[in-house]
Amino acid sequence: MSETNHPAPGKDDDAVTRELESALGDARGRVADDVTLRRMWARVSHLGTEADLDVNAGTTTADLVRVRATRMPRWGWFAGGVASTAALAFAFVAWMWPRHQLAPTFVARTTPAPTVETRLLPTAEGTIRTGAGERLELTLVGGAEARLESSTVMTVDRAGRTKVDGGEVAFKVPRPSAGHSFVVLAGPYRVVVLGTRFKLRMDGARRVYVDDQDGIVEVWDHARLARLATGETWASPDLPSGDTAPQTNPHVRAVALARPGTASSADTDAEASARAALASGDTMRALGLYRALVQRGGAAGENAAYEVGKILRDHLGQPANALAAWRRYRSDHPDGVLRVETDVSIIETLVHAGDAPGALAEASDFIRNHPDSERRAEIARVAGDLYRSRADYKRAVTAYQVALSSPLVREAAEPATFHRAECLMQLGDPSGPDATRAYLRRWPSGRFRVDAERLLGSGEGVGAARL
Amino acid sequence: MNNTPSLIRSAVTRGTVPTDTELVARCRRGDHGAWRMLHDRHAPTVYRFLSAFGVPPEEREDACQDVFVAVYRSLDRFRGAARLSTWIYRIAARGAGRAMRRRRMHALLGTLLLREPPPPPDPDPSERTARLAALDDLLRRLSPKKRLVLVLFEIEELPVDEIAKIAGCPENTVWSRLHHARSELTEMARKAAARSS
Repeated sequence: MSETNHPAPGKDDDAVTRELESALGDARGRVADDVTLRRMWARVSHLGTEADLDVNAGTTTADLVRVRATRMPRWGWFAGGVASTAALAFAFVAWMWPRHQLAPTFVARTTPAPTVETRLLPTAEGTIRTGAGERLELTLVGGAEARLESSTVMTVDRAGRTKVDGGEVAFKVPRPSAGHSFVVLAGPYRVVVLGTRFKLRMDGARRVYVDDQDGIVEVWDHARLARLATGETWASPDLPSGDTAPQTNPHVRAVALARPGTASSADTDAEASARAALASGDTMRALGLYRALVQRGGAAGENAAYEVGKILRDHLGQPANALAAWRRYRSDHPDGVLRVETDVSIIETLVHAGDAPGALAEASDFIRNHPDSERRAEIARVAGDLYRSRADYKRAVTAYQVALSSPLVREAAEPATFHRAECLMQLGDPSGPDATRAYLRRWPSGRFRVDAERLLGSGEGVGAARL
Repeated sequence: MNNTPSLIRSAVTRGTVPTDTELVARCRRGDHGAWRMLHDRHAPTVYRFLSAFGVPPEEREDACQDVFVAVYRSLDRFRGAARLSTWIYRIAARGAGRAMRRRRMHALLGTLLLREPPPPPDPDPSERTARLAALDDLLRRLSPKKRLVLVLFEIEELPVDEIAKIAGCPENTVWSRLHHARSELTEMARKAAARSS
């Protein structure tokens, strides 16, 4: 079969087809940036340490596909059909049931359905309680959402840490940035969340139940007790009253740790311990664990080398040491998967430290070394801002042009467009007013609208005087 | 080479690039480094394929994770009868199909239960990104079978015999689906252009 029987769309030489061809070309070049790849790797890295591959299985790839294609879907469809029929029947009965008979039954229930639904944003620490039949929805600091079911007690402390003291709370946690996690306390347990939806319940006997609905959740006390994937649940053993350490139920622990997908290597455990230590505020312990990982090398060591810099800068306020750590990372891993992230962190740190020449040198290197990076536009814009702050408008214009011509401009587009126009006006370039008008046309209600109008007014005044 | 992940790039420089088969064998022996290399080698391709196949940006990382979990779980069954990439594409296509069906079901349930629809994605000023978003939108409107063939041929640039293995159909069927997919795509693009003008 040759392709000549099947003409390509490009033969119809009109603008639409050309545009389509161009889009297909863009799609061929679409790749995840380094940070995304690193995050993707972090989510499957624990798999490589498992020893659960069944090398004795004699099925071939074709067998695998055939088995899945023929058997699983049929069972799936059958089960789906039964479930759908049952659901439809239930819905039909519920719909047809006389309303006047439902009301007394509803009122007579011992546990009334939730009647109050509120949304608020706690800004300080405090204890939140819901009464019987009351439900409350909260948006916590950091964007996590919590839904408190009836008769629930939840505490938020000064550091924004959340603790469930009784009842049931459903959490929806946005995906955290690398190295961060969301932690909920429940009795002596810490539930460490890596971007997920899950329910946490503590009953009257202070037993804790975790129901993972989406994403990864880890349950810790002194060590990790369980790592839950979507659909998995965990229950604590019975606890004495008070928040003493649990008498760990060996059965529960064994089941939890033996689950498929649970990491078993020392590196993975050390990484998780470091993350948990950081999340619980034990910065020095986290730093020690990460430094130990760096010594061991490997993928975990590479990640740890980057994290050391972040802790030094973000948690310990030591930007100079952070810079040294990241520069060490660069020399140890010149082609490391976190190279882009490291370069960006160095530039950010230099900018915040007021080291404009250093930041500009790093930014120039970045632009030269990472022509396809998703962060190129952002870094070029930063370089433009630095040049502009030094009244070097010519170089600033060049930097903004680099930002605007980068593959993924995103949020850098608006400031880069405006500041480029502003610099052109400062230089007295004849294209300055047009560039400013172009900004106003594209962002008629933009952040710099007032500045642009003022600039245009004064610039046009200058232009008219010249005429 | 520009799109090659850095880990592979450094290995290429040293002239010590293991083949996929070697990597699979090393993964089976529990070599964590090999698993990372295998992931780094194929993750960009899987990500690109899932993007073109209609997986929305916010779900791509989850979808990639699902694909690699499935790959890892099934590595013992990979006998090398097909190329590893073909095998991974097949897993990715099946996973993406399932995810899209699940999403449609969620959307339907969301409508039935009168939940708020998800917010529209932020507008992106980049021309290239806008063009890609428009293409994604057109590709999403193709039937899954046609979309799979078109994406594998036009974007992943795979030969037809390999596409036939991934799609599980004869080569002639691949050509036929490709022809119809191209015609539909062009027609939809024309209509979209006419509407916008």
